[in-house]
Amino acid sequence: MRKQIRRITALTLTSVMAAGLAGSSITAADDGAKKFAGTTLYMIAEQQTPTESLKKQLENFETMTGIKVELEMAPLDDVIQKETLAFQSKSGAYDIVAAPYQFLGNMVENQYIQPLEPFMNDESLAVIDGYDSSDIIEGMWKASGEWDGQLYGVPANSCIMFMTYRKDLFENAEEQAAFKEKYGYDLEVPKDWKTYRDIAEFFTRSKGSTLAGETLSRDFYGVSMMGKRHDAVTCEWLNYAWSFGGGVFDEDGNIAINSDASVEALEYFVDLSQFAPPGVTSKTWDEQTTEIQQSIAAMAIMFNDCAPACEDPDSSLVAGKLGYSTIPVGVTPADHYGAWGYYIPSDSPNPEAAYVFLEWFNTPDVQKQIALDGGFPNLTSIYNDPDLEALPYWEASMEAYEISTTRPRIPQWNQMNEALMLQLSNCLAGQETPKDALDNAAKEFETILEGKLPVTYQ
Amino acid sequence: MKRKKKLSDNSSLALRFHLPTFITLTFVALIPLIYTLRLSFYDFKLSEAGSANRFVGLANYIRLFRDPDFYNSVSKTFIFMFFAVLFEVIIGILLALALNAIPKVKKLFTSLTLIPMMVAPLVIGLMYSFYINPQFGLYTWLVDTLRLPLPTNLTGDSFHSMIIVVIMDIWEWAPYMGLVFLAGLQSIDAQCYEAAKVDGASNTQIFWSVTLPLMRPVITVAVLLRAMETFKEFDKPYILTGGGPGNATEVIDLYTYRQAFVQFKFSYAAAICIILFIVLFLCGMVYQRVAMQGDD
Repeated sequence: MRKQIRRITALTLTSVMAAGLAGSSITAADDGAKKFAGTTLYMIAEQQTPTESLKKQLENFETMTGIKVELEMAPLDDVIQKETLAFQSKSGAYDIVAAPYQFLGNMVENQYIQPLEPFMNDESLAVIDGYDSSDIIEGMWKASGEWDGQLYGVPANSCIMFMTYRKDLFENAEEQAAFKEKYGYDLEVPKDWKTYRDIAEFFTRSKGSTLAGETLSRDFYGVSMMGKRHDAVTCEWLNYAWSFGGGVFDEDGNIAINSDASVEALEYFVDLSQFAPPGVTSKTWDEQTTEIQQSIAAMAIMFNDCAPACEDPDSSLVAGKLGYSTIPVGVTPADHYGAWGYYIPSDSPNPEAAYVFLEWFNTPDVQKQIALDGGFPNLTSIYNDPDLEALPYWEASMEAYEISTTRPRIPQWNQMNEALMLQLSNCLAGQETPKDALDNAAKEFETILEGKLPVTYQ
Repeated sequence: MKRKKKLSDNSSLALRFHLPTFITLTFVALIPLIYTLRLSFYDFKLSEAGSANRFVGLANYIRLFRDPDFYNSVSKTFIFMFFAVLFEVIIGILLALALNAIPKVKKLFTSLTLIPMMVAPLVIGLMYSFYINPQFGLYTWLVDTLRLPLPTNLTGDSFHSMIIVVIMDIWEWAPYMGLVFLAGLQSIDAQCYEAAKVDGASNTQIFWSVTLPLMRPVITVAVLLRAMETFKEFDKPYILTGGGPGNATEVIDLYTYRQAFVQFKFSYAAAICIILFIVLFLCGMVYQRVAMQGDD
């Protein structure tokens, strides 16, 4: 029923939007929204919910401007491979490319993408009604688009890591009493890492024992973690590292990956994994989402764009039973920000039309639809939209965005990440101690960054 | 005089017949190989503009021989090759003997054993990842229900993940080995067995002293072919373990793939390919020699 209502709302909104767009296209036609009519833009982006939502709306863009957008969707690795090949061969294959923000430094320094300023200053390109650049959230725009004071792209598919927990279990009186008896304090949403571990331990139960009054037909775990040699393990662990006061670089830009705080964070991370379902080293966000959906684990540090799937009653056993909060805090509050950006390649045959597309992409109608479909918008005005504030994960997402922390965006990061994820995964598999693993990573970082240290801009 | 002319006529005709093959091979094998060789002397990184013309001589090879991850992948490849081929041969021989013993339904069973080989390696990887899934896999369920003393988290530690990668390969290729050995078995002259029986040899003796020695050429060829193929192992571990945990199942092809298409170090990957090419070329020469010997 709830889903149906949501669907009806979405339908109404789409029709309202379509009407609005039809109106604007008539007025815009005179001052040139159609000036690039007949152009075809080629775009590549990762196959994700927000991208699919965008794809649905491309028709509206074509009606409005006469520009056709051919959007190719692929998994992350494929997108990066295809783009890199296109950049290197200067084929001009794409007019708009999507890339995770940590690739920005690489793309700018190699001059693969072009600055947006010339287009932004060109009055003749301001043809999209409803576009207001000051509405774009500044922090997001800087993370995804700004390099050395120049703007190169707009944010897209933004997401942030936060904590999800089983609200129904946390609110269960029996569990609360049992927790208080065992640990001597109340069972509440964890604000620090010690509590997080205690709760993880508390909820880890074997088959046959009771959980919230029901006998378990299979093992239940305290946390769900991502430990595969994959971007996912870096993403999750960096939250712990930053929160413990460590990280990739220290304040002066020197390597801090093997600092005491970072090592402590990894020790905690490895210790915590005993309360996670077996096979941590083969898991990414996909498996983590399943573990929450199937009621296998009680808590997780996850990307907020996985939350819509956990709240979908068709695929989730725990829809409506989840609570969301910011990540526990050690020394510094930090929630890992992940996002993509849309950029215009230097060899794009139609950069101006591509810029018009980016303007349209950041209009409230488009952004709101993306949010309703399960994504997160770029615009301040949309975040306070009452339709969206009703979503269970919305408020916690807002709080998390306020304390967001970003990965380094330097050209070498991809290579450093490869080295780091191997060490983290090795450590979780018990092949290295946390100290050795991070010392190895530090050594590799030094080789990769030879002559580039200290890293003052990231 | 006349005869000589005729011969040379024939050889030019033969050359003309072979020409299309030579041309095709030049384009699909020789030119890429030379390009790879050239690439391996540069420092071409796909993610760095202008790096295509940075000549570094032997630097890639020097780095390669100092790279612990490279040695790790080589040793994993050999471990994988040794155990996979060993068990494929043992199971293959048993299968061939079994098939040979049931003449009536041999055809049906022979066709059935072909199935694993016809499944795409990628699908095998996916199948096993469901099969051994620690939460809902059939294997996990069996172990739990029958209370077997076996681990359920197979991809979580390096030892078990290598075992499962080897098992996947055995599952795929042991039947093929069985068929090859069956052909070998059938080509043994029945007289040999009769003679052995007349001499009063037991079944075990016949197997060790007649069957096995006579099948040796077939076994050697099959082992060499499979061993060479294990160097190309990629799809199954890529899907099931991704080379993990850590780099516990990172065979040489996975390592090369990561260097080339994840880290975009094309020249470095080219250097690995050249080394791999030399190793396989030597194996090929051994194979040819052994195979020719079999013909004699």
